[in-house]
Amino acid sequence: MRSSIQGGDSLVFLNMAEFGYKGTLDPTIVHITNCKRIEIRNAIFDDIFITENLNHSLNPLEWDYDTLFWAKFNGTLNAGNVEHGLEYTSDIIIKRRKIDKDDDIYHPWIPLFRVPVTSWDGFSFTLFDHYVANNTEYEYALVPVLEGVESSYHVNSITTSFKGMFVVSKEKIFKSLLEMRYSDEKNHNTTSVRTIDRKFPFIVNHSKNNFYSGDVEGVFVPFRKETCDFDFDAAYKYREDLMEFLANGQAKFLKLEDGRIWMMVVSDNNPKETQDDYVKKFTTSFGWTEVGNVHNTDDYFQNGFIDEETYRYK
Amino acid sequence: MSKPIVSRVHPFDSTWPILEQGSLITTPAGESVSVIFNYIYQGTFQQFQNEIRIYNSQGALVYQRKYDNMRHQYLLPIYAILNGDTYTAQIRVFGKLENNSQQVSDWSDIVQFKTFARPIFEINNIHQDQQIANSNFTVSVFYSQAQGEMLKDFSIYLYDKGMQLIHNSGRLSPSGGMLYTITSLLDNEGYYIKANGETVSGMIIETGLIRFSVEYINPPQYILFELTNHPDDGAVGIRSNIIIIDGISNPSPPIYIDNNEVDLTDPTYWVRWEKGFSFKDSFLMQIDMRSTFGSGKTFFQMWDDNNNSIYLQRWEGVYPPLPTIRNFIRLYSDNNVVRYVTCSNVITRLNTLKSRVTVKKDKYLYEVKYSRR
Repeated sequence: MRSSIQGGDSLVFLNMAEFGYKGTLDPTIVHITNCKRIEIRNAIFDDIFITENLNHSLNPLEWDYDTLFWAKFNGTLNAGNVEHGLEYTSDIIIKRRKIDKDDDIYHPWIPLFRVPVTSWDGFSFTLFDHYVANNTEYEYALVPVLEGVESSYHVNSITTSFKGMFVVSKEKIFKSLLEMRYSDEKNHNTTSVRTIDRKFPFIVNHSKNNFYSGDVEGVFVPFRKETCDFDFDAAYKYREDLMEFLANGQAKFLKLEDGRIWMMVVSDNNPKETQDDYVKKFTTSFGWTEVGNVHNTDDYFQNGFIDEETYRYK
Repeated sequence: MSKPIVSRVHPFDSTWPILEQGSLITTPAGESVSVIFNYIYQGTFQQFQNEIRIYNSQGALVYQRKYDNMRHQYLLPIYAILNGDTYTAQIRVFGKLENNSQQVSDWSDIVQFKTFARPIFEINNIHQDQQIANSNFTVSVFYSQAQGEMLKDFSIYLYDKGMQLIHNSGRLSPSGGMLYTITSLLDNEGYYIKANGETVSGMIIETGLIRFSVEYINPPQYILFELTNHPDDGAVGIRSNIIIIDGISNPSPPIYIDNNEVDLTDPTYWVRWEKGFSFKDSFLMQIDMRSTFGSGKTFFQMWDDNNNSIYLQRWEGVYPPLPTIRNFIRLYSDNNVVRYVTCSNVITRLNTLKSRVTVKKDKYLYEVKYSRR
């Protein structure tokens, strides 16, 4: 039986009016999310591009951070962001170098990390380079290694930014933000030879010695981000660890906020703590001597900052 | 009787009118002027007329004319003489004494000059109001002269938007190439630039001011890893962005066409990707292909973990009242309980022509477009 409801026809079935609204038979929207499988067939395909950016102008020229999937069918079924052949990579090497753009100086690449690639399934890494100076521009390169041979360099750059003084080894970081004081001197050995027949002496420099040494002091206290405050209650434990760290004889990086950085060993003046005006406030001081060039891969290796496997890719 | 002392005359284009503060200079008779002969006269009378006579390189008198003029300048009209020759000229002045008797000076000493067509002298890689995307820019200067007059040197002048001179290249020799690199252009700034030059014969030329602006472009260079500052640790974080999405196929390997396309026209052939990606609620997709398959066949399908899928089919048919065969794309969204369908626009029949399907999925809403490419 038909009847009219709201100006349209409807079907009355078992005393119920069915399909009485004009939009009743419109298809129901089905929401499907989290698709993880794609299949194509029945055509000749040139390109499939999928992006998160709904306002993308399409006709893409390059992969960007919104791209999800891009199959180009240029001899491979790869739809990811790496060039053909990278899927055979055995290792990824991360290298870094300092740039002085004003003087157009590019320091040598230093291999910092080697990431073995056993499977690309879920492959990802997050690394931290603590051996950088403040307010300095660096270039990093991701270098795939195929059958022991380096492939092309994928380069990115950054200008560092941090505050405070850091003493850093391969395993540990200690930081001071309070009452930092430093002094340094340049050491190079000369001998003064005075002769009878000259007014002026001869200055003889047979040694290649040319290194920095100095003294540093600061208040080392943990800083709690949650309370945005220094935790002086936990400071003694922090300083105990620091004293062990300074006395372990291993090479470290000393980094200052003004951009200076040295590869050094704690020497000469032993690490010392001095209490200041507040009962929980101690100043830690120590002397240091430069032992390597922060831009030299050999010095990184000899002082234990990179391992032998990574050093091979210098 | 004293005579005028005529200043040096630089080479000029006898057909080119000169301007003063943007306005044409004219003779007392109202004609445009190609050159001004300046002179000094220290005679005993007040000048009220001057006269010039000009001889060509063969010694023939080619121009002689008198003007009423009290200024110590002779204004030569354009086209009075021809380009491409070396001329000599003399000037004399006329005056009156207090008793109104007319006086005339001696002819000045001969002054020699050249005429040739104005060179084409321009900065040919910046146009007015151009936008430059770099802090450095290499300016290219072009010079050409019809009679073969060579360029002796040129200079580049850079001004800021307030017309303050920022940089002067100094004299540059054309033998080193007509290029000059300006540096340190700042982002979001406006500048003016011009080039001045001098020919071998001494003609001074300039390009005129060109206004341009600088806006750096920072392309979204996609890098396989991201770098971030970690100021609390004094470190740089390095995070990978490598995405490998490998496909499998039947046959394996699939049939490639010119290493640019994959042929899946055989009904048993397919390509599948099953790992390395995940599309959430919204995405925009573009599929470029050749429409060689039959009507009503699925050519693209994607599934979620619950086997719900979105798939695309091409449909073709005659849809009255139009008699032509027309094509469109149907998108199905199927959760195995309910199936949603939406259609693209309609286009006329495709044979093996290249086509493009665009699908926009904005959470629950779908939009499909179909076009040739």
